[in-house]
Amino acid sequence: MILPNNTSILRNIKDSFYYNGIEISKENFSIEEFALVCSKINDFKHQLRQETCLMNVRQKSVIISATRLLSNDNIRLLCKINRKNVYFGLYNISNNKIIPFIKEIFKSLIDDDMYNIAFELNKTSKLISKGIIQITTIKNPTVLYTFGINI
Amino acid sequence: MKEMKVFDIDGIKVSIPMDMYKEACRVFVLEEETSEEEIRGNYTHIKHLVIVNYRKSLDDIGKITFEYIKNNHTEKEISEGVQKLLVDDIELNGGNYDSTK
Repeated sequence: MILPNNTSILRNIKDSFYYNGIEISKENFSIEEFALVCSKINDFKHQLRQETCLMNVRQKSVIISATRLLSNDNIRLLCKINRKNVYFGLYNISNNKIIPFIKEIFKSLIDDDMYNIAFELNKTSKLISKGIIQITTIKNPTVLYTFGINI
Repeated sequence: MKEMKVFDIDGIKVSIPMDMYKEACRVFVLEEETSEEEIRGNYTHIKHLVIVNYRKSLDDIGKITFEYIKNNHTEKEISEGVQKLLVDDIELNGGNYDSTK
């Protein structure tokens, strides 16, 4: 079980609190569920550290990428990363809408989902570094939940 | 006989037509494997597609595992599923691949 090592990022908000942007309800809080969310974030941070191009490009660019979650659906897992923060959301490619991300979905993701979004981010950063693209076409990602992590 | 690109994904041979692979690289769905990082990236992406192909709803996330797929589906079935998703992604990225050719 992996628990958070930086409790300063916990914020009390009425009946629930946020850990790294994931809302955790006090009503149905379970330490196992919380540990699962923390573990997923740690796996993702570890993977990002291995992606060299991403680590170079993120110093000066915001990088956004998305990955498929289902075989026959338009919902994608969206990730935005800059020098300090990582944001996650769900994105509907048919209407360009970003859907808020809930912990029930986040904790169900497996390592392969997280590794693949890291791969997609790294691929996007390569395109930025080669000058093939400057920004992604995903609009208004400001409603995404923030992950204040140090990577 | 079509030339195939074969990915070894944890003991499963996932095959896609070479021309599909080249088109996927051209529109940045996959990478050209000129470095270890790119080879690792393609492995990660293809493995993810193997799993995604058997998820039909958000409820399936976390329930469908790679091991389950490996034990219950043939390499041919898995490869065909990955090819279908790759064709979708190629089109989404502005590429063109006719899978009926």
